[in-house]
Amino acid sequence: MMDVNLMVTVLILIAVGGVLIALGVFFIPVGGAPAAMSTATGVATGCEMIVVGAGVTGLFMAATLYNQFLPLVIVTAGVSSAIMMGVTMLVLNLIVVYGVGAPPSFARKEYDPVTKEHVKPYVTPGTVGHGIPTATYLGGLFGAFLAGLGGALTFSVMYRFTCGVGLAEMLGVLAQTSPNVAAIALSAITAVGAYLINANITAYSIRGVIESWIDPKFEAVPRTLAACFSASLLFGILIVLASMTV
Amino acid sequence: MGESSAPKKVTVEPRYLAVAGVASGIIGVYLGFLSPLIPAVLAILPIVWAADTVRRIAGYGIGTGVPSIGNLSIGMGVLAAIVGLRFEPAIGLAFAACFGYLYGIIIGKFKVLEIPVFTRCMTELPAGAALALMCLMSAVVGGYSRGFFEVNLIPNLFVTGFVAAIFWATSLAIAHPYNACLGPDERQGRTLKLAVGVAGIDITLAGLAALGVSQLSPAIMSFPTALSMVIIGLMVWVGGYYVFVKTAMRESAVVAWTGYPGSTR
Repeated sequence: MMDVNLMVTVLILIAVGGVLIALGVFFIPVGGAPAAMSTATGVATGCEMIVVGAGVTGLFMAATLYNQFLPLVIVTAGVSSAIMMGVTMLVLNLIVVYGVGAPPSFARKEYDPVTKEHVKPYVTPGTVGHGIPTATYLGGLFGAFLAGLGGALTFSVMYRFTCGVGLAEMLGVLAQTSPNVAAIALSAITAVGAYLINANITAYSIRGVIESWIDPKFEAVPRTLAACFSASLLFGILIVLASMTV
Repeated sequence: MGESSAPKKVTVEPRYLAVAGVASGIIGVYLGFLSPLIPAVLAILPIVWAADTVRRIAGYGIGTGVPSIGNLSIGMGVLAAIVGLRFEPAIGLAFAACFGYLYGIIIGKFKVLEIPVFTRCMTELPAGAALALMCLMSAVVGGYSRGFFEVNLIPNLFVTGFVAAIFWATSLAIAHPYNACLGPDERQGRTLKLAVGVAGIDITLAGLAALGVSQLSPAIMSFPTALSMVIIGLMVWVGGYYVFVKTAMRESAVVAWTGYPGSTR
């Protein structure tokens, strides 16, 4: 009945999707509650919400382009996710600059690594930065792109597996003319479950606040990604069982 | 919060809660063919059990917020619950516990997070979440029966999107009690009273979804049953919150009313 090669491919692709999501979050400046009070650099929400937000944006795009060529779907979803995060960070900067009245800055480094601007003097004493300066902004765009790739990959692979197609259709163009709504609903819920599982590994690893790629916590990337890969592989078994052909 | 804040004197032993949660969840799912109200009501105990587990694990202060634990439990629980409703609910429960245990091992092995009770709590959390979800999801479409997954569950719960509401409401019911009550004076009994109240919200939402299902497919869910599910949910909700607020007022140092209308005394 079920092709073992197909199942193993699905498992590995789901695990790769989980790793991409986790890696993406390390690039996004996550500020958590301190950022909501403008006392830390980053987007003013937790890792969980960022991961699920970026993943679900990718999921929406992938569901819209359900029958297109798989790499095209994934890259489009990544771009849509990057646009989502770009708008979020831009609005946060607008609020911080024009509402709070603090210039985007961080205390981690003396100079912005991208623009070479002198940012440290603009940090208010007692805080570790405000808003999203250029270096972390670019990191956030790239991170959201990666997370969108992962979200779309996870969802598309699950959807195509649930529809019961072969390997060629799974990685290429899907020969469907109308979407299988039942399969989309089932794989959307299981995909959100997978995002939450990966999101928590990343969140425990980051513990609250990270300032994109200039943060020392970036060293935790290899073991976090290994943990994400293992956990996604593990729960991939449940996902495969849950989403066998509807 | 340091490690000293985690283990404290408890009102109910976690062991008993686990036994009660597993028993009521399994009984609830399997007796769903009698009346969908049975799984809906019996979903309270698994939720209370999971909320108590969140209380034990989040007491260590993991630095990511309490809701993340609730979301994690529901993420693992929903996968196991779908597998359980598809094949056999007992298998779903076993999968939830086993996979949660292995997840805890993975987190410990890669040194992502090192707290002593993590593996045990990760075994209990997905099990409680999966049981609660299995109960509520089967209650909405008229109770569990063999082979109802493709015929009843997918078209009535997944295609209509009601599953998303139940998914997030259960996550809220698991994470909210400790998130709202945490602090130096947190007490297990009070937190669990709130958990019962929030479980009422979850049942009310399931009842609203059942109202929708009763119009879509009258064969599996009758309108009076769905309406009584809403009423039971509202009763549990109001009752749980009433008892919780009474307890909180009794245990607080002083309660001063500062709202509108102003105090006349």
